[in-house]
Amino acid sequence: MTAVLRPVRTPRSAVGRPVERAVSRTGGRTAPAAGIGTAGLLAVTAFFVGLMVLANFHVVVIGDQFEFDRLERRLETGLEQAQVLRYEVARLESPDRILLVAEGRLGMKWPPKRFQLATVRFGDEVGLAAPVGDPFAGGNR
Amino acid sequence: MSRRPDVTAAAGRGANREVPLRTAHLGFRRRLVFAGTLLVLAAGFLGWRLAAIQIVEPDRYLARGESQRIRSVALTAVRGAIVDRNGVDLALSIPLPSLVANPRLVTDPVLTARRLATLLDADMEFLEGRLTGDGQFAYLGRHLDPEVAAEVMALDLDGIRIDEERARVRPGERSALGVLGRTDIDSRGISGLELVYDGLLSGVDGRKVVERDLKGASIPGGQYSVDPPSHGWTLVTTIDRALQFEAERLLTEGVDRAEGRGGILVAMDPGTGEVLASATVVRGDDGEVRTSGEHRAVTWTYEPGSIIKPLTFSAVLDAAVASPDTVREVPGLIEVHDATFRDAPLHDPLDLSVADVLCRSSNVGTIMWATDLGPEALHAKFREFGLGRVSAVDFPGESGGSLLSLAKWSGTSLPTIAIGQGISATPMQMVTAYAALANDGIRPAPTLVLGTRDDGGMFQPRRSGRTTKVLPSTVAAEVVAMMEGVVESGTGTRAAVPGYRVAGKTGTAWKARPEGGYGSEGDRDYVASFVGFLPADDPRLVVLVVVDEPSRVRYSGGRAAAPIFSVFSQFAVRRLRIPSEAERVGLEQAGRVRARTPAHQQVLDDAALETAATPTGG
Repeated sequence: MTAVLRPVRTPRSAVGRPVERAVSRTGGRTAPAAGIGTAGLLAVTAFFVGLMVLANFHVVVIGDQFEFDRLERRLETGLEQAQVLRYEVARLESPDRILLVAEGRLGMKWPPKRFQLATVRFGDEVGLAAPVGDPFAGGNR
Repeated sequence: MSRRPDVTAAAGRGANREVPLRTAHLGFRRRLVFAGTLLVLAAGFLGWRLAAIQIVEPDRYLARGESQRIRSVALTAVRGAIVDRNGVDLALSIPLPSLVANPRLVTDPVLTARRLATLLDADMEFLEGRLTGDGQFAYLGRHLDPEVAAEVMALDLDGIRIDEERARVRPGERSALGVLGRTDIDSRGISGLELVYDGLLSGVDGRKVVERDLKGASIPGGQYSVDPPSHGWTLVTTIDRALQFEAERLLTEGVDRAEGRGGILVAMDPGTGEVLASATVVRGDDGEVRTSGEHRAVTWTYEPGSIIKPLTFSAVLDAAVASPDTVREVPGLIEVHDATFRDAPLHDPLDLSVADVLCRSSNVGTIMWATDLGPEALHAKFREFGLGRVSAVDFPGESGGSLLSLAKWSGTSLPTIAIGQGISATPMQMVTAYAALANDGIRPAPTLVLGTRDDGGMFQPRRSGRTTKVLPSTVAAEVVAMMEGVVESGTGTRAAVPGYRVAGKTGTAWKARPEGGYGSEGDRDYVASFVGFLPADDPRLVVLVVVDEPSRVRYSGGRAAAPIFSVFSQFAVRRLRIPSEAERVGLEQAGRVRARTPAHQQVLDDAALETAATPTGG
């Protein structure tokens, strides 16, 4: 077995004594060895950094996946809610319900004679163009 | 005292037994072999299982693994809505909760049934039966009120859960129910437009395949594919919700007032054949008149009676047998073969023009002119008007009515059919025939559908039906002019609409008895009707009102049906913004505009006020 001597800190009082130098059997550290060491260190560092990036990326992907799932559910719920609200609007607008509320809760009564509004105004000076196409093609719901 | 343990006292049986070393080694070896064998067997078993899993039947385990991870979720297509001509929802699908049980998880079915019965207003034995079934799935209630579902879930019962399901709902409840039709519990159309356009409304379900973890979350980068559903298309009908509602309301009132068994009202745009409203009401067993779920305008036939006379005279005028002014002597009664026909009220012989005959609704005069015309021409003209065959409205259960072929006509067929007896027609056929008179002699194809709107909102108009030229426009105009007289001074004065020229005809037909015949004098059932259109010179609305079996006091078409026509038309002309005679004067003048909607009217009012308030120069 070869023994490698490590440099020894000598007390300052030992100045003058011959200094023991640690010398490897192969001699001093050469440039390629130092390069390999640095490369190894860098590789290890890069490996761990890569792992961390990968882990972080995975976290981001999972997070986004959760977000995607959540948005998908929200979209689904939103669409269903829109249908329910659409029904509610139609129900509230229903003449049947309006009549029921008017005659029931509000206690309104039919007038003895109904006054119908004119569909055409006389002497109208407003420069609006006459309607074009089907005037009854109304909403687009 | 020695602290050393007393070996003899502590040792049990055999403590002093001497075991030879060789025997001990043998025992150890046996145990070693036994343990080794066990290990080998275990290893062999594991190896065998490994081979079985990986080599012998890997597909099974792959499939099992996939079934645990990969979920295939059906994406249900939403059934398309049915909307009116203005885009107002008449029927649509919304998610509603359904109550579902897993009987295997229900700990106490009796108690659970008892607690649910009060909330669901259901029979306890029925619920108990469902809760004690063999399967893992049982419906306890479908399409529940969300509040009821929430109350049930608050009970926190074992094995009970809520599943969301699509339910078909109609915001207007029973309004236009006969036209729209119904769907079954699984949202498949079973009647009406829901049935006719079921394929179009249903859409096609989609599917989503997704890889999920134990908690149900998607696995990133896992399998994920979506085949989106193709939602059902929206069906745009020709119905106007406001007109439909008013038609049902006024018809209900009118039938109730006339003490009738039921009634039908059909409103149509004569130019296009679009049905704007089609109402059916019936008197129930409880005596209440309410909207029917049957679309009788196309499924029910009746003998139209006198409202067929304008069609008879159309044939007479078209064949140039007479003109509206042609006068002849008309007796009070006439005998044809073995039958006697009479006018009501009975009168002495009178000199009546063709127009007078129609205005007075003279049976005898009509029969005389029809006889001059001949059966072939009359039969042919009625066929051209669309009688005796199903219309183009394309509705399930539609009847074609009955117009006997000429070969089957007897001696009394001509006079009978000329006055609207011995022939049956649906209200839709009659209103379409009148639309032809109103439309310069061109019979439109009646329709209930304007078009469809696809998933992306693109509107596709329905292919318009075939129109038929029935009369020259001059003949149609002559008949219309004669029909104006009916409302001005004839039997239909109660159909007048203030401010509008109305052309129409009343009908009071005997109703055939199920056992045959029409009953005797004083013991007859009638069908009262009125059909007319307005404005007479430029018709934009045709309305037919039929009252089935009105009381024997108010049984005539002029008394039972014409008033309903009048009040409905007064509403309809405002709704459809049809200008009155006074309003039409000078409509083409510059500066006069027709308000399109109430909101537009408001804009005009505001603009007029602003103009008035602006100081003018000079």
